[in-house]
Amino acid sequence: MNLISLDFITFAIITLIVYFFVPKKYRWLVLAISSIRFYYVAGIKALMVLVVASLGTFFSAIIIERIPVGIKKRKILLATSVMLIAMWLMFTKASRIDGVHFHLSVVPLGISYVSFMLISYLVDIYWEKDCSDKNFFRFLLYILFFPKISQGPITKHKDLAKQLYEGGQLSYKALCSGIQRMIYGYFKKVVIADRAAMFTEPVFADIHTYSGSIIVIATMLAALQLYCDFSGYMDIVLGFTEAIGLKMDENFRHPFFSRSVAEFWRRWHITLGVWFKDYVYTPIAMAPFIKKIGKWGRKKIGKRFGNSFIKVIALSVVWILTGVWHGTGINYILWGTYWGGIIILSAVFESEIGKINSLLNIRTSANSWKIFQMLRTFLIFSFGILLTELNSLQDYKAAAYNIFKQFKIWNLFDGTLYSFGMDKTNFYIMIFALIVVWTISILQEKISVREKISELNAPVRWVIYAGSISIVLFLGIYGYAYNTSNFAYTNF
Amino acid sequence: MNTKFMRESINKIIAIIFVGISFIGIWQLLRYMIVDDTKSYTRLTLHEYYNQENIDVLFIGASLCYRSLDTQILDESLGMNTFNLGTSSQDMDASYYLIKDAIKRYNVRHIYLELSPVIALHTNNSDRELTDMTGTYIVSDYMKPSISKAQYLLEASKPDYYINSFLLARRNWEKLFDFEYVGSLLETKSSTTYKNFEYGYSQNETEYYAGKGYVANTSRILDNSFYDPYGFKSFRIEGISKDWYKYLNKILKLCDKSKVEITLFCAPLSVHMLASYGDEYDKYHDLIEQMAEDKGKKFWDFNLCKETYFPIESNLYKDSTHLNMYGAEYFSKLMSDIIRGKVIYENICYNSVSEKLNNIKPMVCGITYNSEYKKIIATHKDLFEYRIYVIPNEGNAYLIQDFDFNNEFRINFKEHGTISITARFIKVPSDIQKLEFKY
Repeated sequence: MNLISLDFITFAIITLIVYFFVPKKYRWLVLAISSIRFYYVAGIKALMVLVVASLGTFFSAIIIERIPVGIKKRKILLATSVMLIAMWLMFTKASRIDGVHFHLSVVPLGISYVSFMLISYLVDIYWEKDCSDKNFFRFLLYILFFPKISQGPITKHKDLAKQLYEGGQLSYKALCSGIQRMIYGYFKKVVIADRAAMFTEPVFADIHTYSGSIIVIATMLAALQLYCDFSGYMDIVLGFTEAIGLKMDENFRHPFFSRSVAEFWRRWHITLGVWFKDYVYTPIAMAPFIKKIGKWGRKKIGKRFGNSFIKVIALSVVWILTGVWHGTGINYILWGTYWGGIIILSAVFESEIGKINSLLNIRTSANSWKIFQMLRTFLIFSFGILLTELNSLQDYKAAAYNIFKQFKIWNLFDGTLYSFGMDKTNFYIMIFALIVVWTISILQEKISVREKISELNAPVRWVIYAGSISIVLFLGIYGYAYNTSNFAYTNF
Repeated sequence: MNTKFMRESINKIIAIIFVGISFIGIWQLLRYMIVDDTKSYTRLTLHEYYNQENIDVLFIGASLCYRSLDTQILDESLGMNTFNLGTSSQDMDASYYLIKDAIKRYNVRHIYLELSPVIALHTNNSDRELTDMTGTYIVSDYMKPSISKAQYLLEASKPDYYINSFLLARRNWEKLFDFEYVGSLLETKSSTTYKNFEYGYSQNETEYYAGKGYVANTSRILDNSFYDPYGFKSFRIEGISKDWYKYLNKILKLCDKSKVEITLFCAPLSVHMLASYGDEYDKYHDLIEQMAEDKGKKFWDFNLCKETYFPIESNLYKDSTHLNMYGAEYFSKLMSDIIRGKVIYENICYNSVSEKLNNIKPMVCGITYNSEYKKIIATHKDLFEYRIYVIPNEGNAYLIQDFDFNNEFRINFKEHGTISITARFIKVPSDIQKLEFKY
């Protein structure tokens, strides 16, 4: 069920109404039934596979909790369970690779998110940071909760499960605020992201035929498209959750205001970053073997090497896994290496970079420098997008050749820009919509825009609501004339 | 506590209503700014329809209905208030919801439902594509808001089109940014002609809205020079949509329930179309006749009319399917004579189209075509030999065939010019028919 379909909107409204009218202690049942219904649309087989995986995890968690700390069996059971989940994810992903001889007939929706949630649940139980669930259906609700099932956020059991079971605290204010956020999400998705796709899709599908200037514009637009698509989805999901009185983790915090790549990844897909930090980076960095090598390095080669070694090892693993998690092709491994490389280099050479800045007399507190850093981060991210959008060495070669040898800057002014996919009107609408999002983002860094709206006079507020819904319906790219693009992260 | 709760609840209800009103207001404004209905006949038809004191007799159907029946003639001859609620490409679901509205709104005594074979072949509602929706929007855009209208729109298409169906401005939203278009449209809409629901637009000088749903057209097809694509596609009753049957049955049930008399009829198509359809038309006729008989309704098929009652001359038509105003005048009089019982339907008709074609003088009717082929249509297929000569606008004239029975030929679709056909009647070789077509 696509979140921008009439089916989903009807489904969400019905769920919302029923949820409101059912006594608080039964509300989790409303969500459980809705979530099963939502997942059922993706296929009964997929649902069954997910139920079986959840059942396995559910019982493993109970057993792990019962085995006293320090008993080897406890560790073995955790390792086996985690391995099974990881293999399930790997086989599912591998079966999508072209040329692979086995293909799984059932690929559950949101498998990447579900498997991470199952792993984090088991590990948290093992670490005694969380208690195991004793009611399977309530545990299943945590896994299947429909707003987050296909694209996250990756929420921890201890943060979400209790809320789901206890039922949301409903209020008119939260309802309005949640709906506002959903409208904003739809705006980002159908007015910007799907409009940008009209430009980027034909360019990336046939990169050989476009000049460098067009490829550069398409690359930057693809970065904005991905942001509006993914964060738009999050706004819809978190808006709905807010409307029913629940709270889930934020996944975005205006990433394009980041001044470094490390900061970028603390603002982009936050819950994935946190997951990798908690369940991959920290365990590696704290592993006795790695610590021992680090200690040895500090003694024998130098303090800096020793400290950097741990970071390099942990970050390398994290980024290769991040790449593999995002996609199965070689381009995703390249993408992970690209990001890992940049982050490792900037972490290792942090002091040298500082020295160069002071040598060049750069006042790092100046706004111009901050803007430069933001632009630099954006361009680094955009280039990363180019790596994942292209599929072969020939494509990379063609892109590089066209950017460096066939740039044709005049293509930006002679009408070529509007000659494929997106006409002038759509281009201007997209620019205008991006300015709106950018302005709101700046305001959100300082104030809560939705709270400000709620402080306005009632009639003004109501006209804003009606106007916002109308803008989305009027300017959105959906319906008969367009192929509704799926959300970018739905296949994960 | 209760007072506070009540006050808060009232405030919330007011808020929801206000948001709703603002939403409708915004979309009405957008509709006014970008939806061009200045050339629409249906806007005038439905405006007049809603402003009748009563409608005694209602004629309804697709374009064959509104181009064939002159309500002024019918009013005078029947001495009742008649109304023609035909609209372009009106599907059976549209007819059903319009009839439902008419029965509710007026004390309708008799309904005459035109059953065009072309409409019967339209797709099922759930298979409709955007272009198929035009026939729906032509009606729904001017219907007054009601639950019945909402029901009609929900049933008329798959959910993908709901936004377009309910929020009209969405259909051509890009026009909002074409300031020249918006300016010109607003200017036209501010004219008294538009405001007073008069017809101020004329695509060509030959057509006008004559009132109470009837659209008159003065152009004529001379000497059987029909040249259009409508007859090329073979007509098969197996292709009739399920929804056509479904809504026709609903109409018949509704009329029975409301005790309103209903008569089914087919307005006269040109001989060119009948010859194109061939025997398959008779199957269509038999099908409706059987349905009418089963439900105890009358069915008048004017395509079976004898020449003495309705001539077969091409100059009564504006194209192969629609009558012009001269044909409509003739037909309206015949219709009123039959309604009044002055003429008995059974006495003026053949039993089938095949019988009719066999009884009229053999003739070549015109050309029908698709993107590749052109086909010569004649009443008696095997009795003519054709010499086909093509005179392109650019290049030299050339001969395609010299007196051959073959009636299908190809011309480069990019080419334009004149096709000259000499048809020789094999039984009387001196009987030569010469026809010219611009292509």
